[in-house]
Amino acid sequence: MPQQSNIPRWLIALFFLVALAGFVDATYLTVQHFLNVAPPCYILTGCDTVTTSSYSVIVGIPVALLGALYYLFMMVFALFVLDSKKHHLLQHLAFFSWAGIIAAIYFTAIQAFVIKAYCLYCLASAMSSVMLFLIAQHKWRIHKRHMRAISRDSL
Amino acid sequence: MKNTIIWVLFLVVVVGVVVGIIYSAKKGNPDVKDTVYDIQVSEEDQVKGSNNPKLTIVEYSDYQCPACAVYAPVVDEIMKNYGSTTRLVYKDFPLDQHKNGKIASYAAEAAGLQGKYWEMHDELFKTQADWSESETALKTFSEYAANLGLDTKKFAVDVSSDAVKQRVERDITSGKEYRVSYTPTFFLNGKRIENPAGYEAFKTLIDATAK
Repeated sequence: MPQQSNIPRWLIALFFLVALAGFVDATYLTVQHFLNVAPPCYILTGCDTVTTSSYSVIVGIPVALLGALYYLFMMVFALFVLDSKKHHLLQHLAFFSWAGIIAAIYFTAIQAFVIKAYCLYCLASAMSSVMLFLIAQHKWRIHKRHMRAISRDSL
Repeated sequence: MKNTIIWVLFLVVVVGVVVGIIYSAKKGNPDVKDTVYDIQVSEEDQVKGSNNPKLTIVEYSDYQCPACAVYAPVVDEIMKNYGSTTRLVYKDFPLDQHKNGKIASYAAEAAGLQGKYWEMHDELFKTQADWSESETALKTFSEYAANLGLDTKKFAVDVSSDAVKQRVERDITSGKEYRVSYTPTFFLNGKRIENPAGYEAFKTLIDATAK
């Protein structure tokens, strides 16, 4: 059932911008993965040891592609919530965003402690996932508070 | 679907992003210019393939660079199929961030003084992960030398000799002259190419250059 919500527009716009940035970033990494045999080692910035490591692929699927699909899914789902006005679905959006933050923490830890090298685009993606998580949780909290206020008023 | 325009706009943005990224990635590296360098090949260079080549591939490479190790079997395959008309010149370009890259180059050059350059070259790339971060890489290379049947005493002297070091330094200097900024960097008949995505892509470039 369509519901009213008081989630600020700027927060919705920010969510889409961050998810789009994450999508662009992960798509770039995916394309690089499929087009390059191996990214070369540069004099100034060194080798791309992260995106060529064994951690960059999970059962044959590049992590970057999983990332791109995650961001795409988050955008489609958020657009669906917005379009259908079924704001209670924000609870699911907040739930799905846990996948992003867990992946962000896991892959940043792998870079820091196992590979001991960083990949700028991977860190940017981690940052996008953390931001999506925070926004999704915040949106859900705003909606919950709003619904509670409505039910209190109707009593 | 109440707001069709928003969904269509969204689809356009997503498709646009994907197509744009693929297009710009395929368009290639703007650093690769059409400059053709007259890369000098001397008797001291490590060369294999045709003595009367139609095509010369010059490779600037680093034994500790993972991408170079990935390209090693690709180049090997190229030389197996095009060796009768093509010459491969391997030039050392060990990068500063690789702690054992230079020692590996010395080891290959020292093996070359006993006629086993390419055997050591192949071994170093195959075993790259074993010695890259090792504190005793030289000891490992001496074992490789022994396995290749080299005179290990001579190898030990050569690997730290000024002559071998100068060969490597000369390659590095020449690479900088030809604006090498990453490894591996390939030149086909003096023209720097974008690193090909695998054997087939490399083969296509060679066929096009040899025409």
